[in-house]
Amino acid sequence: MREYKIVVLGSGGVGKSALTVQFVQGIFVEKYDPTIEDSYRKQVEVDGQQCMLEILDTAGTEQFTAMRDLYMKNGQGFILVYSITAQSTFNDLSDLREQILRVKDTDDVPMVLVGNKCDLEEERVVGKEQGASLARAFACTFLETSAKAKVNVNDIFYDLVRQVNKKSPEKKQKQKKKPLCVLL
Amino acid sequence: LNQNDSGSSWYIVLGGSLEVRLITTNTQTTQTNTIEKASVYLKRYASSRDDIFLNQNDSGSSWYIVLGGSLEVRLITTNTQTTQTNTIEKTIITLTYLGVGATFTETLLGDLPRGAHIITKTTCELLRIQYRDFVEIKERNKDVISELQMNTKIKNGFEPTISKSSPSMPTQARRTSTPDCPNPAEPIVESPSVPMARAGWVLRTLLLNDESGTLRDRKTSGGRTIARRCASGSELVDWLMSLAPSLAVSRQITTGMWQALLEEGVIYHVNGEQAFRDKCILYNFWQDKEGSSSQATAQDIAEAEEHLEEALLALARRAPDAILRYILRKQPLDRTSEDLEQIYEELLHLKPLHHLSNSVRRELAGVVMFEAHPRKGEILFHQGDEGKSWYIIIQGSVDVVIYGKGCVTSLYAGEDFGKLALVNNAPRKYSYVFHQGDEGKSWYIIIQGSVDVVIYGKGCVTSLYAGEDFGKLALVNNAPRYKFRGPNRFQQITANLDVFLRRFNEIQYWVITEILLVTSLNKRVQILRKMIKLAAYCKEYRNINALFAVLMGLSNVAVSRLSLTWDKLPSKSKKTYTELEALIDPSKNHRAYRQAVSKLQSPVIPFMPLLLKDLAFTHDGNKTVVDGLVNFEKMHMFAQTLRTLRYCRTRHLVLDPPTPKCESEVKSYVSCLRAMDNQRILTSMSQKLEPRRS
Repeated sequence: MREYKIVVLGSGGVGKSALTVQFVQGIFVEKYDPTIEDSYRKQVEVDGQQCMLEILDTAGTEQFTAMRDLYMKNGQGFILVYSITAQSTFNDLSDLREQILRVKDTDDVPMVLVGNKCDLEEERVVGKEQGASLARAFACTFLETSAKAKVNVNDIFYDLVRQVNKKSPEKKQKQKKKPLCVLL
Repeated sequence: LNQNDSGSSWYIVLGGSLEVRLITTNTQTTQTNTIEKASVYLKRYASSRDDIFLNQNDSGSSWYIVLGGSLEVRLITTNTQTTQTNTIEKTIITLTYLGVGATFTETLLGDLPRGAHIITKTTCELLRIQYRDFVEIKERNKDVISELQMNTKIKNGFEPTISKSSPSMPTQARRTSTPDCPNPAEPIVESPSVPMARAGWVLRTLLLNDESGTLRDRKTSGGRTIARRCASGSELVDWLMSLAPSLAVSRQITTGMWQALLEEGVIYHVNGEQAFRDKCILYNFWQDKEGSSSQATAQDIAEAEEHLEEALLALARRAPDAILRYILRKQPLDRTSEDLEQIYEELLHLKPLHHLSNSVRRELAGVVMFEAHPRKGEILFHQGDEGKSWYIIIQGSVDVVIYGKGCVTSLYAGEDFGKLALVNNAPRKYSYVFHQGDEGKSWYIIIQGSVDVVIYGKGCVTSLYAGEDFGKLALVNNAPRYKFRGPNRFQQITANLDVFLRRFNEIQYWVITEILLVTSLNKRVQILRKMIKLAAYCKEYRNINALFAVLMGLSNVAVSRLSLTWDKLPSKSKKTYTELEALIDPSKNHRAYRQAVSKLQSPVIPFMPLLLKDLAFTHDGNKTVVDGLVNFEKMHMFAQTLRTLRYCRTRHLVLDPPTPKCESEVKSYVSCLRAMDNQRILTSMSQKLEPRRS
């Protein structure tokens, strides 16, 4: 089964952890233990194929670059999250994207722009059109979501899996089957 | 916290362990100590009255950021002006010192008059933002600025009384020492720091000995005067580059190296008008400017040659900062887009601007001005100014002094201020607002940011200048600011945790800087090998946090792309590195790390960010109350994480490190690592060392 490392980035308080927990956990349980091996992993079926997703979420350490750099290095797909109720979280994303491109050393990185908290329509300050036009500038997909109301959460991750598949189709297994060269 | 006052004043300390005392007028007479202290400031004030650079009646309108030195903020009530001598002695009180990273004159936000004098306490570096520019930005970004106000708690200070002007203020024009356009040729310190003076001496000695005669008497462009032993900027750059081909630095950096000397008054533009530029503009050394005619002796030359490499390294480390300051002293209109980008990157690291969005920072980059106040006791502005400026202190501290009959309240820290601003080793963050009411006159000042005293901690303020390179910036920069998360939005900042987290970045960037500063390939391989060894030691002593920092430094793209260096690494080191690197792999929820740590005996220093992440997800992933009942599963998980942390420190570290010959030197080196933390500069240095193969 192919594994996908998905990195969730965004300023503090935009609801990253809620998205991650919502996606991984699905239903509400009394206990979500973030220290066990599977707490950020989920197996899903995308386009008839089984995939194992591992979510690298920087929630809780936003102000601390160490975790972010580490996750950027390791990630294959990126979710840039802002809150539709706070303009500054939206403005901060361009820099995050630049950092990703710098670390990955390429312009083509699977990415989804996410405007979270769309259940708080009355507090909205970032218009949907603004989000869409930023996504166009980033050349990436755009979704408005609500972790609380469970809107579009899974779609983010499915879309990212498709993008990763498109960018780098699976062919590693073929290479592995090549006979090894043994020297005596 | 003491509050002797009843009701007419208040203040808030938001975190940190600021020692402040509030004293009422009634108690002032009994505070002999206060008065003694006060008279000290009086002297300073008196001796530097001509240097007042912002005074009460200025419509001084800038926002300042202090880059270095310290400032004193004083408050004079209007009715004491006539009987100054008497009243000053009685009532000058140092309100506070403004430390590194602090901003002041945030009253700008509310169009308030200046409430105090600001006086430089030590050599100061300031960033200033003009009022008109600030207002423009404010207009365009109302939401963000209001966010800023929320964050600084300044809203608490807005009261109508404050906008009263001070009609009885003397109106004679005092020379303001905040010039509209700072002269880029002025040195920013009172006297050159030791390393710079030394570097200057080395270069001058070698230049005097140089056969090309670069340094010679020339007519200045006017043709009337003769400038002694001078050379043009481009000649100097050429010469320095030819001197150190091994350093392989660009013209731009070399220019920065000379600018660093000019900033400290080691070299001067012959007419004192220009910053150092790579052009046909003449510069000479201060010795020659003062008419020294000494020739270099053979002994001098030998000594100079011996110290050349050291001097060049010191200069190279300072160059990027010097270039930045040069840009900051340019008029906003003269700045190129590249300049703006560079300023913007620096602003990213300023803590007081932390809560501003990047777009606002970008706009600020266009207007922020650099101001240096080399002398102690300069007065930035007086109480009652039409003060609408906002300052940020990057370095140094500022005294806030209040004097005048009838000051109802004042904040006083007496002897403890030395400790607060200079000696205390714990960088702290605090925001506080205090309020002093006197017959309808009130003033507010907010200090936010950290008094970063690691630099000062070395004991003397001069160490500031000695360490005036990227190391210092790294301390101010990049400071992660950790607030406890949660629905309650505690305004507390966990200072010790913050210092600890900051240390991670310092180590990480120090590793990168050390490797990139070595131009010789073989030497670089040696340093890389040493760093890997250091990582192995960290693991051996179970300092996992530092181990991660070193490994993150080594895996930074600026280092990891140096394939020539990595290729020459002995296979044993490579193997060690590969094994260690596996630990930082975040796969399966940091399985490699979690497994390795669970086997370790106390004492252990864990990789702290992961603990923070666990806490965050425990909190966000579990409800606190379920069906009206406390969710004990959640509380158990919190307790478990904290128990892990407690276990890590159940035992003391017992080890016998090899006693180095110069232990104190090692200690002071480790306590103040010098590192560049600008990824762009690091990457470009890396590309210079090993150009990209296409």
